[in-house]
Amino acid sequence: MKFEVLQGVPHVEKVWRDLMDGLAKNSLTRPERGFAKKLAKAVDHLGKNPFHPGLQSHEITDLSDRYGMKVFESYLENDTPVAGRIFWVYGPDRAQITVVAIEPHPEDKRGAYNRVQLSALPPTRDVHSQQPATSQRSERRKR
Amino acid sequence: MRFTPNDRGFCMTAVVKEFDVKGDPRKRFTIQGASFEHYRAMLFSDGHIELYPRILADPTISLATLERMDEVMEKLAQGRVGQPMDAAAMLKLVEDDE
Repeated sequence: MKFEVLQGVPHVEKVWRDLMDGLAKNSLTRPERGFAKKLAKAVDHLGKNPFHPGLQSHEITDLSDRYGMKVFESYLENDTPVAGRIFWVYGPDRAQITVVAIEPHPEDKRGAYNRVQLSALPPTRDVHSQQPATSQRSERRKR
Repeated sequence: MRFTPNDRGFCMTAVVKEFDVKGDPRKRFTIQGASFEHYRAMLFSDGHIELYPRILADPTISLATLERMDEVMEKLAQGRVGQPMDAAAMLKLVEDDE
């Protein structure tokens, strides 16, 4: 089943338009061109098969709970979430997919550290008493 | 053995190393043999300092992206979406550019 991939408004639409305009005017930087290529390939895969292995599409349950509909994440580069990712939902009609966010957003020049979250709880295990896995294995073998 | 506090109450941990440290002229201290990359530091008014290990949670979405996504989802709920994304046209432009 093929899907029509739609632009979420206003932000995804703006990113897509800026990239298309930049490509047409040849004003994009080399990394921006690379990003456009990865994004176009991901959109192409998404339309043909949303669960193409290269996309590694998976549901983000926190976002699904937040919006009351299933929200999926796909990677622009295989196994490399930092290279870019898109968030999408099924709809609004049958055989349609709407891209609701693109990350990294071209306007996000700063604030990358905001993305790093530290655990709320420190680990309770006593790290010093743990032996390396290799020594644990050798002890088991001795037994 | 020593009872040390953590977020879940108190737990008993063994002291494996004890040493004196001296701050450099900018009052920075080096802790050798730390088991974790991230720590939560607590500086108390009486001068003592406590460090608690932290681990990185799963990579999450930046606040800016989440705000933008909220807006897009609101419009989607109203049935407002943009044009189809023409991947073939973009790929052709990229190839022409190269």
